[in-house]
Amino acid sequence: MKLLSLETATAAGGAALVIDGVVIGESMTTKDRRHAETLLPSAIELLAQAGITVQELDGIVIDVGPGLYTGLRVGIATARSLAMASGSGLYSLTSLEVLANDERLGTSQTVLSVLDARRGEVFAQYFTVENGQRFPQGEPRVLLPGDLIEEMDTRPQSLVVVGDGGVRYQELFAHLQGVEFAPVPLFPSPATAAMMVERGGVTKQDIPSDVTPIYLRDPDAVANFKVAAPSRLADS
Amino acid sequence: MTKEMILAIETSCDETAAAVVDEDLHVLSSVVSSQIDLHASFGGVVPEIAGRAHVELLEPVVQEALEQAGRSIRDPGVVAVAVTTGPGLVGSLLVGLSGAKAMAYAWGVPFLSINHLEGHLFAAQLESDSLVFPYVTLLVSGGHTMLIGVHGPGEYRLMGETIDDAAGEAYDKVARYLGLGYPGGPAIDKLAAQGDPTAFRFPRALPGENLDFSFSGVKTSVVRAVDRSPEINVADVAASFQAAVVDVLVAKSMQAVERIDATAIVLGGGVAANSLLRERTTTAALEHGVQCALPSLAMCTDNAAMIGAAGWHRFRVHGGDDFSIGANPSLVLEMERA
Repeated sequence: MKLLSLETATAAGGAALVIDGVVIGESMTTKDRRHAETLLPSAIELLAQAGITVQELDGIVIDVGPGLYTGLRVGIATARSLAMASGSGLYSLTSLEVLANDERLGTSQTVLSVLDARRGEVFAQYFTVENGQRFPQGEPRVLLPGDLIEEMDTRPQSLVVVGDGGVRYQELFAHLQGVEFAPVPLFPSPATAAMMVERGGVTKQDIPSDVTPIYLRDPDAVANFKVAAPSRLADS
Repeated sequence: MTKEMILAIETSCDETAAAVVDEDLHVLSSVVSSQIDLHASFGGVVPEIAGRAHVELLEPVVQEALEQAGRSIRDPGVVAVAVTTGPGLVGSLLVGLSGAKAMAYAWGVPFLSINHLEGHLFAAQLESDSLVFPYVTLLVSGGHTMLIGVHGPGEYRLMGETIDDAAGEAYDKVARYLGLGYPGGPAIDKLAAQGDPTAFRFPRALPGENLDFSFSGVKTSVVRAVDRSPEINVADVAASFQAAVVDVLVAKSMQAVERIDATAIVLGGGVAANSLLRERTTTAALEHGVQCALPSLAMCTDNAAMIGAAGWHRFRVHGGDDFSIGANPSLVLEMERA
């Protein structure tokens, strides 16, 4: 398959081109909040280097979060519009599963993917291993790092924490036995996402416009409103 | 021979809009999906809510616009894609910009970066073939209050602008204070029809030769009047406030018309939908012997057809823009200060 993968869920964004299971190129930048400027030019350059057109792609792969909201919308609007305008397939993955499936982690241990959600919170999800494959446990969540660690006290197993959220709050994990921190990756990689599609098991999205970001939080105004005037919100 | 077409996209604030405009500036389709209901409970546009709605609506709105023009997203038949890149809410702008770039690239056509304000200046040309340069456009909305001398396509002179609140912003604030809801313009306009515009004498700011505007004083005066007498007749307040705002807008517009010997006065922006402003501008234009161009209500408020009209101009004089262009929430329209 010819797959163009787009990544904008975190401060590190970029694109990757994977053809028949070979990573032809991956272009990443950590210029925060510049995804809208760099994403499409990166993709165009990768396609040009490989000498293929967007119409020749079998699929566009997109990380739908959880992550930074504005970045997610840039990536998803780009991916959906590319797919719909070119007729390519569209495949979506979550940021936390892309992190957990990074080949640099190996497949021997349970992984806890943790991304910095800003405002003192993290996005987190566990992934176990069976027959060399990773399986998500539960849904992606947003929570305080302290709450995540509190519930880990009752998980007597060795695991690897991966992602910039784990690194940021590493000292909070210090008292836990059997917890390792993966030095890389800090962020989900678009090449990994494309390889996951290549290996199968990621469903093609038949209706591209149904692919939307995973936010996990209400907009602030709605959250404040629910606290201040729950009845008015229910009426509206 | 079929005419060439541009697809235009506008997501600068709380409307997700797409349109197809042909080379003669005929609007083949103009689809606007308003989010007013989503924001009404909050008394104003909530940027994060707007961003979320845009990303859900973008491609469905584009598909609808293309289908109404007899095309489809796989076979759009357009020569370029124009999109608003500023000014506006950055999180909203980025959705339309990202989609527009991707579609333009996939279709192999240029992408055009359009200033939202220039769109408003072109809106009148979509509905009036008879406009002759130079004319004066009063651009008046929730974000802007400007008098612009339009001397040719792309040739603008800023003749006056607000030094504090935009007129529409003053409407929203006063409406909120009077408990009339959001958006404030239509609410005050409606209530004002039942009130006495001479009941209160609210201030007309910056009289004389100066073409700049100020609306914070009239807003404060309304608040003081209501605070002084809680039993006040709200319809009279609305009518008197509206009279004060419209008096200033019309008087300065006509001064601008005289100053550059303009052939017409043109209204643009959301406040251009105001019934008193339309009525008084029409009368004043007649008295001055100049044409009065009042865009339809759909063309006053944010829409993509006006971005398509500005897009045609950019396409012809400049060609396509680079795919590395980002959104600029405070994008300035290139204008001489007259």
